[in-house]
Amino acid sequence: MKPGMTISCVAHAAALGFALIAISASPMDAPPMETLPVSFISEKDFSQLTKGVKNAPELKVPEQKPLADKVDSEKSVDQLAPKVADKPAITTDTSKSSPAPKPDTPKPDPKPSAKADTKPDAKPEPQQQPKPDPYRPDQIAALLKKDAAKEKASENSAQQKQNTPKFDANQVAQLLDKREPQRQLASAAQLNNNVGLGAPSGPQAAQLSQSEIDALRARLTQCWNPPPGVDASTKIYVTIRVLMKPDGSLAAPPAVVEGSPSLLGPALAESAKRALLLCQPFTMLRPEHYQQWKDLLLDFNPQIMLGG
Amino acid sequence: MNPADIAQSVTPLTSSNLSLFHLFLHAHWVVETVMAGLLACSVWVWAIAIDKTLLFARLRRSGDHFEEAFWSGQSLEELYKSLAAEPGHSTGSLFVAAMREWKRSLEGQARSFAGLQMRIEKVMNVAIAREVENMERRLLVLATVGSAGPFIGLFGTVVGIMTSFQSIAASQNTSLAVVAPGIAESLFATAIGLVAAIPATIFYNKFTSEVNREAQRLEGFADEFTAILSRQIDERG
Repeated sequence: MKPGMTISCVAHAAALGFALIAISASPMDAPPMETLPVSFISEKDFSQLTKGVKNAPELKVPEQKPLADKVDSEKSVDQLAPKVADKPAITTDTSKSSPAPKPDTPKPDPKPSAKADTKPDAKPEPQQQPKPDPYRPDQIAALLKKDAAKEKASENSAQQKQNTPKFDANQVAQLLDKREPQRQLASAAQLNNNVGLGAPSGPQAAQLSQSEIDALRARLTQCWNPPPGVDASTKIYVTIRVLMKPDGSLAAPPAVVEGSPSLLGPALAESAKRALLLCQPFTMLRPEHYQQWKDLLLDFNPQIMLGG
Repeated sequence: MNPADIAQSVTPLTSSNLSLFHLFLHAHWVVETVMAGLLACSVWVWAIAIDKTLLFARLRRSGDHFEEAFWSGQSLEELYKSLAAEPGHSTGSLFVAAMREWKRSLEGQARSFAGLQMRIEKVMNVAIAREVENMERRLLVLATVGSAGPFIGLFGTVVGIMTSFQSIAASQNTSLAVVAPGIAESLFATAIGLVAAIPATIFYNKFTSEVNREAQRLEGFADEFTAILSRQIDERG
């Protein structure tokens, strides 16, 4: 037993010493980790962020970040003008940013030279193009006036009539462009910190509250006079689409969207329509949430409305 | 909580390095006891393993040596005289025990051959049992350490993790830097348990098979030698 014990002790001491030297030489230090500050915002803050301000400061175009959307520079305003009198906003948007990335495109040059001969006063576009002008709703009227003047001028000049019917694929694409004018603020490569005009549909964060829905349901139950033969045990329903005015009254006669196939169906639908017409205006719906309740689908289900 | 404050509170904990020595010193006393006990077990296991290895090597060598001399045609009386002083282990001691009984029976006046073969068999069985017992001694320690070592280490780990969770609760900070040292030190206890248990199990299996092999060899020799002596007895009787 003696030699075994001695050898074992010596071997263990050697192994421990080796471990101490080998492992302690590179201490397993954990580097201090980076902390990431996180802040919570309430729903109210969020809706205020997305709301936008009416008196937002005018955006300086040169300070704007490069836009992520590819903006086409092929089309000119005067080509577009006779056809799309109702979409001036898009044209100003595209022409506004085109000079900045491409200052030396060959296209703008021939047009002023070609038209300068015929009508020098009917072309505000070449001057308008370099001017950085943010989209403003009040300018639409001014642009429309200009377009009207231009149309008259184009009728007078025979040369202009030859040019206008030229087909341009980019023009078609622009006509089909149904996106909101504000999209460029959101589609920038970098986030823009300036206060914008807000999201297109306003503060979506404000939802139709449960109490308003309950109040509407209670009111409809009150007004509704179910047709004879319909009681809480009748398995029948009808869905009615209601278009509202901001004051809570009906903007259009209520229309049946769908219903269960039953002999009582038409009578039920008529009674539901009568209830809606009788009870308007629905003042329990608050006007600030009008976006949520201007188009409602209401279910008339006797099992719920009479039974529950 | 200010991020800067968190960073400051975290750094002193991480600055304590996780070397083996620090791991041992910072541990809970229960964990330290477990670690020390397991280290002692490991030392003991290896001592037994070395001892048994030497023992079996010696047994095999002396057994080979003896059987070579036994089957060489040498006179059994001479072989007995040369081995009687120092019977050694293994088959040599068997031979000496059987020969002693044989001689005693012949030297006596009675010359009783009647129970001689049975007596020789008994003597040899006793000698085999003594040899096997000598070989199996302390093998149970290996078995115990092999089976209980991981559990002892696990016990240390559980205690260590409990204390590290208590330290988390005390510091009210769940960052990894607070948890890591405690868990590392408690896992160290399991590591030592495995380090002690794995060789113990391996050596136990190895030595058990060696003991079986030696016992077979002894019994085989005993049967052969009994047959030889029985033939002698029948010739004389």
